[in-house]
Amino acid sequence: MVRGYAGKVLRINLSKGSFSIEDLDMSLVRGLIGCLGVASKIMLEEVDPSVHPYSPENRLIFATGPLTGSTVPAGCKTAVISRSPLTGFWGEAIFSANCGIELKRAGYDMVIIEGRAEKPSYIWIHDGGVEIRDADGIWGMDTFTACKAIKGDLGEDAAVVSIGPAGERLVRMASIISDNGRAAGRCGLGAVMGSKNLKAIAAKGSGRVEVADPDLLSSLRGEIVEITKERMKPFTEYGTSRGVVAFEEMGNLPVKNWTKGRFPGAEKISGVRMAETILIDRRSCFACHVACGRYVRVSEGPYAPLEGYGPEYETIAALGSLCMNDNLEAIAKANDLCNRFGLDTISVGATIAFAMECYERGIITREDTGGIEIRWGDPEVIIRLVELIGRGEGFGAILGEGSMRAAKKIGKGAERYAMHVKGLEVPMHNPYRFKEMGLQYATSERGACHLRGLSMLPARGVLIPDIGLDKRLDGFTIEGKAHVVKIMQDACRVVDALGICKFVVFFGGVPLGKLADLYTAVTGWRTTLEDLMRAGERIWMLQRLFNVRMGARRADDTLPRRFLEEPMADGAAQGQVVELEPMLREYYAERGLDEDGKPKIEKLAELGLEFAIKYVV
Amino acid sequence: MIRIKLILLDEVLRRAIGEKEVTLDLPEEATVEDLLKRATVEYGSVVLEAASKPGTSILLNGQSIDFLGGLKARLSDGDRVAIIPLIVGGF
Repeated sequence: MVRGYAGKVLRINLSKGSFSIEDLDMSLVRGLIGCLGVASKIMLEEVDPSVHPYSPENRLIFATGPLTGSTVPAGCKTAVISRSPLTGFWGEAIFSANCGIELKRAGYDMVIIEGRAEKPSYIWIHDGGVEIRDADGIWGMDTFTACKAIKGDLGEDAAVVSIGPAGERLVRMASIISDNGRAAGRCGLGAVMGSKNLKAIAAKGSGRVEVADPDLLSSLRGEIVEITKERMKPFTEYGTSRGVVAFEEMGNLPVKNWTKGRFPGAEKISGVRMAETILIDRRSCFACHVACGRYVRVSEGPYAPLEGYGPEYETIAALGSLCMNDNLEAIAKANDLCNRFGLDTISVGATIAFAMECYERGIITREDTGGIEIRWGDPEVIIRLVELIGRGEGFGAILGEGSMRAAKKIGKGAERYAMHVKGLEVPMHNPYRFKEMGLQYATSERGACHLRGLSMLPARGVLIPDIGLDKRLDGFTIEGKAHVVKIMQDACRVVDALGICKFVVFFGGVPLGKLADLYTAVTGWRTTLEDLMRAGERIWMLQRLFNVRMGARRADDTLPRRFLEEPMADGAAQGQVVELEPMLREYYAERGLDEDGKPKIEKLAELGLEFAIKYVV
Repeated sequence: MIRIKLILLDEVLRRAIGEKEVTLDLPEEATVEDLLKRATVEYGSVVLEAASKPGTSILLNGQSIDFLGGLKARLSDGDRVAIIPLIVGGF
């Protein structure tokens, strides 16, 4: 018998107030690893181009992997999937929500939510059943307060994920926040939840994730902890943002809306400085020995009192260097506000940086902004704009639409300064410095994404020999990068579908072959790394197909003009531009895509995805 | 003489030396290797130990010396050399 999966899928229709339970199709799972893959097929089949992201017909899926909730180190991930209101394409965000683990313990690998509740509601999933409950009393609350209130009703051991006021108001960059302080940040999935009148999901189960070979798993667990513990120590000590200063030195840190490479304030916003100042605790995700999560306190000054989950690297760069802000306490405050409103810190920071550039260039003035002088580096302005975006008020209502739509609304050439791909704001790794990141951003299914590929790792000296990336690459060159991006995208799909943390796997130096061993130990299906990589490629391809079905073509696989045409002004990447076209041509050939970016029929057949051929013909 | 800035991004190294960066004067045509040797004389073996750890990056003006001739990469006045440990931070 196959283990690792609960074996059931919960489908909830909020319009009807009903639910049904389906068997997880194990023949499908075998070729797609877990529910991330299965959800890709469901989205392809159930969401057609006429389905607006906010329409009741859009699906909102919470999908776990076979390792989620097992004792595999950092087997803690749940994916949220929908049609994104920011991009109109594949929307996905993955987080370490305890709610996903409880969902599995309650007997479900995946929840598919459709319809729209008549009034504000939340879903309560437990051993005894599924309830759609009244959320009138919690609608309007910030995310953490809502989680606390629901726990007050259901018991402290219920795990909760919630949207905040931003999701309720359909702010397109709204996130979903879990009670353990992690965010499904990207793609505006919090707004999809809001569009369904769904404030939160709570789950509690008494089951456990069954494992096929507990002895093998126990030995693998020990091995992985041993492999990773020394390498991950810097993550424990200083968190993800330890890299700020080194990134600035190597030309990776984004500065002043991507126009500069040097940022004199880098030291002041680094993870090391955080550890020396506002850090009061380190937080672990489920089953993880690393504890890269930060917990901070600001006791005095303009941003006090503040106590809560601290900013990650992406947040620090987005609300810091990208906006020329070197005030760490202000970043912590803005981060806390984003978490409470339920806003993606990357999109928020990137859109504020866009507004700052527009203001400097005179494209917008105080008349447009409601009297706010949106000057570079002003922490008060950043915090004010976060509040306005979260509330959907004033100029915040325009910025909350995301940089692509805000630029269109502003006009006067503002589009040139909106740094997004497919509508999703560019995250905090520099394609001028690592050209492979440019190709990755251009081709990621959810728009500009750093996590769907991590393709800069070999150029940073983090090697992955199992998939042939066994020597350091030069980040300034484009030769061979199409292959690197393709194989890293597939590898990341594997890790995501398994439900395990990418940081522990890749930064921890876990040989990827161990993932196949883990999968075999948990499920009982004898599996090789080649099998998993093939499945990763299938998942990528199904999501590509979803985008093609939604109208994505080659022209969408591009980068903001700045990266292509404006040489970097200073720092290590001075004078560089991203030579995207030759990389993209090579990448299409490598992927089996035609000239228009559509999967070739023979490629789909080769991958065993015959059922999907009808979507390209 | 040329003046080179050595940037220390390894916490062990920073703590041992008590500085985030140091400036060293070297003869014309000195290499990265010469710089590391000089820093070792000035600050002790901790410099070479940090620089030779597996996976450590040595950057010359932001580029890995692997693509500039390795330790034999030639330095010029005003250059920046950084020692960066393998796991420097996340995403």
